[in-house]
Amino acid sequence: MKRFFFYIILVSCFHANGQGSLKEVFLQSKMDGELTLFDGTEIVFWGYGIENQTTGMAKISLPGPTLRFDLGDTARIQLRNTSPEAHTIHWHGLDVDQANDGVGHTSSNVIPNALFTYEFVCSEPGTYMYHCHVLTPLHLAMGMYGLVIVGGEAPEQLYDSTTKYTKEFSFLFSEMNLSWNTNPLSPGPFALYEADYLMVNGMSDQELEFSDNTVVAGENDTLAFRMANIGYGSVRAIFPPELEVYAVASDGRRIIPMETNELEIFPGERFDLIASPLQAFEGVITVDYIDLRNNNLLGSNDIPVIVTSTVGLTNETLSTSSVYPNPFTESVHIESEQYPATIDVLDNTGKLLKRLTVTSASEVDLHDLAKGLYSLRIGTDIFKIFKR
Amino acid sequence: MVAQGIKIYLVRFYLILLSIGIIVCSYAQDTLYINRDTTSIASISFQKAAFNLDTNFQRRNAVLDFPENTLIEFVVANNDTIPHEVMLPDGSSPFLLQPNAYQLVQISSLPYGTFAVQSLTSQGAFLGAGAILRVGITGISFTWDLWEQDPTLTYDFGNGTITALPAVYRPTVFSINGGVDPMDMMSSAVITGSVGDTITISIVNNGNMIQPIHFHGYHVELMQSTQQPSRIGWKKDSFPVFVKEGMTLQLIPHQPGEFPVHNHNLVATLFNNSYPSGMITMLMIMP
Repeated sequence: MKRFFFYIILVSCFHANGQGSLKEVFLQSKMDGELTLFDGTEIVFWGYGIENQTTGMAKISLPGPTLRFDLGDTARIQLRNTSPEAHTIHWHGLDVDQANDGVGHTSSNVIPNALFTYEFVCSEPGTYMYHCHVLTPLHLAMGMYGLVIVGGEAPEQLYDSTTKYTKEFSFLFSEMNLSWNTNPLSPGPFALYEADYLMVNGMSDQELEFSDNTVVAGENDTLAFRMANIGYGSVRAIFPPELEVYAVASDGRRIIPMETNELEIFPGERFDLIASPLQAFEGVITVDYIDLRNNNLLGSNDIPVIVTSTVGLTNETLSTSSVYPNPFTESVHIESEQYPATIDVLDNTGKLLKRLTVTSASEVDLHDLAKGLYSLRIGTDIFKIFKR
Repeated sequence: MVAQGIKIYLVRFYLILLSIGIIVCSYAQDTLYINRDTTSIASISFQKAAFNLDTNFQRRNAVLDFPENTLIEFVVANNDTIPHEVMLPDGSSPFLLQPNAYQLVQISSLPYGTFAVQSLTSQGAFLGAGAILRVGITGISFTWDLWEQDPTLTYDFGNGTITALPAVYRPTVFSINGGVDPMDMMSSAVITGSVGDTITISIVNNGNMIQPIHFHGYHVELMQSTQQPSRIGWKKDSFPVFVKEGMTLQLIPHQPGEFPVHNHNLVATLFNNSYPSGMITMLMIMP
């Protein structure tokens, strides 16, 4: 859950006209992202990042930051394009007006070094997406997308009191065409797109296991799942039998609750679901990716699910420490309940690589580690971390 | 007197013939001709099949309108050089139609919605032959006939070399109503209306893969579907149209504007590697 709060950055917030707030977000679009995938493949990506209002700098992420607003908010998003090509933001599903729709042909392209401000009212709760709509087949596939969440009538409600939850998890499904993400300037015929990497929140395969995308809950928790598919193909989420799952909304609109143990989500669709554990268990939500051109199964990802028997107890509360982001690239932020704290960095064979001591919540520089899987031992807590 | 009698008899006979003619004309059925031909868009040529209202081939399939809960009658004529197996939307068994043959079709009734008369024969099914029946749809209405194919494969299907999609299927022609140009405001695919209008959109996917459609600017309500009954009543901006599915949407625009609507499997928004093109069109909503 920390990941979501970490990504949600609302720079300015004040009440306007007594109906929600004006919330401002400062984004930059850039084309300089670099990433090492779980198998060691180096890629480049394009995307959006939050602009630091002090330094004017931004670092893009894959996917872009999750933007969260409350029902009735006026969202004002300033996009500064610091890349060499034009971009936009299309607010997928938010039914904004033409000027804010983010389509170059009918709205406005944001040319290099230009600034554009989007503004709209968040009038319907739900799960939405945003993405670039310039040469969309390429720009979107290069990583220019993210989630938008509009909260319900009250905190911890998807919509109203009938859709209350105690824990919330968001999953944005996407794909990556390796040849484009290694050589975007010569993408070749766009129709020959292939989904080489299949992602959940920008991660795939074993990265997911080590990331903080695990669903961790107590057996008395009520879980909210927000699922969105920005890929070219469809995804099929197969829920563990120990979870009772109801789809309660799709595309930001309520539906008659529909029990589901297997939900296919087509490109552009979003679903909001309420899940109740039937017992304590450890399992996975399997996500199948399907090429719509001939219904071929492209592959699968597993989202780990851990439901403990202790009411409301999660591994976050079991742990006295926390580490994020995970995966990381240069450094990790470490918080511990006790200081000074000794931190051991171990490789995947258990060999001690380095020992550090921190006296307060700290950013720990791990840039000298090679890309791969490591363990961090902080007191009695052990965290698996993945360096990209 | 005899001449006068013959004259009266002839006049009466003429009137009877005229009455029969009027009656026949009143109940004349539309004829759906199965046509197949080579066509091209820009420099890309391909084979296409369609049900047209005459023997002149057009890429777009014909649309027939009927009231709800009444006898539906039309004629299907095979103007192709091969037999076609024709499937009706009433669940009856398909019938085979030889070249140059025709058959009167009677369907006792269909409920409100959008349905298709489709060819099950490879040369028809894979090349997009599917007439669109709209039942009980009145007022401001539009129809989308969706189709996609790989131009090279169209010739293989056309000459019978293949009868199924290959394991690796990479279509490059994605069309709505036989066109691929979203900027062509004269296209029958473009939706026009005003804020507050009740606009009905009928869709038939005559293609060979699921087409996930996304509306900008608006949500639409799924009023009817031949393959997704569990989603009827849902208000969506993104939704799939399954292969050979008939679907009816209702759009009541809450705001004016020009917005695209397109396939969100983004390979479908290209034609000849040009973007935006393919399975994409426009919504033009006046204040």
